[in-house]
Amino acid sequence: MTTIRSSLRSIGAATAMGAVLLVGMPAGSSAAGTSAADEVPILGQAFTMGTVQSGPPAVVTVHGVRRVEGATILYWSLGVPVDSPVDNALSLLGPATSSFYAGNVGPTMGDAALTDVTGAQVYRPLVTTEKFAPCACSPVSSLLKVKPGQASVMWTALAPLPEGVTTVDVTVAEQVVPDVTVEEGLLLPVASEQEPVIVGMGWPEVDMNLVGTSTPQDPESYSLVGRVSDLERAVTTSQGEVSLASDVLFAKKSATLTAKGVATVAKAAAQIKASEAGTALTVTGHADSDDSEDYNQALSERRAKAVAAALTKELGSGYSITAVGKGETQPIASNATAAGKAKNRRVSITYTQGQ
Amino acid sequence: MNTATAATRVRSRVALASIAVAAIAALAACTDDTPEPSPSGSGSSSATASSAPAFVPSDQSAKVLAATLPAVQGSAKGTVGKQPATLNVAEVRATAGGTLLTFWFSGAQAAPLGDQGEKSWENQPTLVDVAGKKVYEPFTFTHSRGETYCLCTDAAYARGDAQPRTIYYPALPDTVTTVEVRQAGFDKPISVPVTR
Repeated sequence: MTTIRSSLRSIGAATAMGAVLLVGMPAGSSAAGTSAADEVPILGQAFTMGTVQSGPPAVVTVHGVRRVEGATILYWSLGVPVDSPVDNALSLLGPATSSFYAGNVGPTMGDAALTDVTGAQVYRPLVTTEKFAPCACSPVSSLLKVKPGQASVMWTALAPLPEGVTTVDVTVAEQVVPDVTVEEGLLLPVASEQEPVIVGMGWPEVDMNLVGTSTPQDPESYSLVGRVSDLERAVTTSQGEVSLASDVLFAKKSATLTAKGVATVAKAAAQIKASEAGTALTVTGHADSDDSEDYNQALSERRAKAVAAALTKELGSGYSITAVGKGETQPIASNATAAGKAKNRRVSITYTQGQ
Repeated sequence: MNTATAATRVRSRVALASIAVAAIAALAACTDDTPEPSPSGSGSSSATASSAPAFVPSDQSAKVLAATLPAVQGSAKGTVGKQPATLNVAEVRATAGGTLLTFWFSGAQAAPLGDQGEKSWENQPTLVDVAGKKVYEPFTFTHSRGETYCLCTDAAYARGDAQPRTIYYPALPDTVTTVEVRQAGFDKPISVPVTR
């Protein structure tokens, strides 16, 4: 007797090759009175115009973030509005998206990325060893063949998420789609027509052979930094760090704290005390790229020492404070703009939370 | 309803017949002697062919295309890319781990935004909690090449119809109900409620 084991489940990568027959649905999506299998999950949406200058924006929809062996599969679609003037959906993906199908797999924002805010990590796409398959993802024809009025579903493989990550924020098509639940296994059934896969016709067939030979990038994820500052933008707090704006601390080219600078260090010291930071602090001076490297290095060292001395006075004994200078070697923003340079001119105080 | 902001699962009916037929065909060679693959998916359940819902492929594009841009909640006139433009804020939404801004520039003349793309987080709008005296800046990460990117939409220029963009920021405290969106070049802050 022939047995169909399940028509209502998703499958993991380990069984995908031998069980493509299964008719599936997103896990945990059942609803009273409605067959769970007749749902197209819409887990979040955003809009994009890309480089198109007129007409309605395209609709970006996240359909699934699914764990498989060795990877995380993102299913998403690009919907081209009925009255869109585009003849090529690629143009709806924006100026940075060219890298999506290129070898330089990101994440730049044109690529897919999965952000775990709690773990402060941005997970990147896998890379392949195939010469003509720079990304483990749907073929570009998935976008070239989609017509106005259609939404084309695509997949891309990213680094495996840690076990405890249950929700991620998806970046795709240069837009952020937050709060997407991570589920298990591939979406099924596979559509009979694959290029493009129109929403509702089944799901793209994930090339598990390609996924299996692809690897996470180095690093497989980037550290996420969230900055919150005071209204004066003098003191900025991020994970394990308090950063002080050099323009507030010092006069130009000076390493002597101004009166406002002293007050700002006192404010930072209060934050460090309140955060129950560890007692081992590192004070690091940074410069923008103006002036020579040697000059910037020396200035950053002197500024770090000045802040360390003031910090020692504020915190009292019990703290171990080390001062170092990094010159212009560790920018956090572009040195091509005035605003970016101002961000780079800083003295950071790093600590280990709760140490 | 703004479907883009309702991060909910919208259910659209997709009938299920022909794939089931294909599945049955594919299973034709699968006999009782064939070892069952062990599904690794969570919450798996079993069903027999007789209880399997049929799958009928059906273009559901209209379901996703029914989404509409959020309405503009506030705007300000100013300058971007050295051109006069309007900054439109559609939504500031508190998510589980952060805060999502949806916005766009509009203007009659082409305004280059080369300094306001994904590599220019320092030039992006900020969210200001006036009462809490805090400024929230875009989430960033540093690429292995050394460049710092924001979790945001890249931009080339502002021209023509709305070019919707999103930027992701750190989470606001639960007590914050309104924020100001501030952008260099636009003197007037745009005050908008926080969607929760």
